[in-house]
Amino acid sequence: MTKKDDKSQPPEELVKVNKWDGSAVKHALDDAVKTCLLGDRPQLKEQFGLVNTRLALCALAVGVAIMAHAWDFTHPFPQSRPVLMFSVLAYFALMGVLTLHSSFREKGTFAVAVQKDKERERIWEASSDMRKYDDKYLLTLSVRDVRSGNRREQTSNKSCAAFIDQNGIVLDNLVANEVNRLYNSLAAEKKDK
Amino acid sequence: MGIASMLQIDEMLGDFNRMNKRQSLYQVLSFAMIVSSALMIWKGLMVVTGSESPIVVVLSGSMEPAFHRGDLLFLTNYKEEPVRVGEIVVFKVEGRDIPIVHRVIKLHEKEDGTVKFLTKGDNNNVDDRGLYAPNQLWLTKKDIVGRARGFLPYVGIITIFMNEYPKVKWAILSILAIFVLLHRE
Repeated sequence: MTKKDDKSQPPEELVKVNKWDGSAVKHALDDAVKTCLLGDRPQLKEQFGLVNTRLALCALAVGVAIMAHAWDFTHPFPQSRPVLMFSVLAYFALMGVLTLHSSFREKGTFAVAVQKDKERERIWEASSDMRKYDDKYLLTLSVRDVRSGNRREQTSNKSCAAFIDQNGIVLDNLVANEVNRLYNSLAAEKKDK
Repeated sequence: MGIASMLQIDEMLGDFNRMNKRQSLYQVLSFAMIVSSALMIWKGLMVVTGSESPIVVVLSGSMEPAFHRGDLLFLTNYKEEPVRVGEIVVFKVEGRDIPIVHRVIKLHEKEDGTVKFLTKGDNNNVDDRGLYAPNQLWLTKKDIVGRARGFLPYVGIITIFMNEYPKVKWAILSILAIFVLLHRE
């Protein structure tokens, strides 16, 4: 039985979202899943590689833009033409790479964690998909063994209403149930081998 | 139901407070990328048209009935194209920032291709010598910002309005910036 006011811990902030805003709901659920997945499992260490790549690409693109603007400012237009041409092409090329990265490499993944034991190293990935104006929250938890390359996944396709109440408050215990179910089924299958 | 709760500002702020460092950085970078994209499109237009200001707004009625105050003009400035009498050019007088849109009425050309020309607004009674720099009687190619190639009526009135009431401009831009920074994707 979960008690909301556990006096040994500081009261947890209740997450409230606008239940009609699809993207806010998805982000809130993603956050809740991530907290539940990583919260009580010290063996899982979060990895930021994907996010860092995306941030680096964005920063690089912005850097190119700033450099182009500064160059054009100090060398008035006709002289700056070749630099501007290069910068514009570079900027839009970087935007293309960024789009490819988020569409194909990232694909809705919001949490990546590494589990290192003495015998094996496994990478856990959580990704989600929720279509616009659709209430179904498709959560995919996958585990990949680094050495053998084996990859397995479990999905949960429930309505977001299963985790959020009338007032838009995200119910962490319901999210945790779902996450634990997926995690345990993936972890258990591994041990059978 | 106050306006704040209608706009769900509480939820947005809550969302923002829960963001970790990387997410906050991503919000800032997203905003920077929007600004950069606009900037790069502008610079791209500059490169493609060859003009330092490819889109200008007509600020006065000196070219009526051809162009009215608030019209948007699209310019090109290709070096190979010669300036001809009768063409509408956009030029800047040395020392002044504001581009002027008038018609070429007289032109002198030397054998080596250098030109000097005189302009006048269709709706003005006198030529532009009164607008040129002191002791300047003619314009040359380097004063030209570009030649008008196309136009959109009325669209530029927003720019004129924002320049006459800069506080409105900053207010709108600030609200947009805050919204982009706080809203996740």
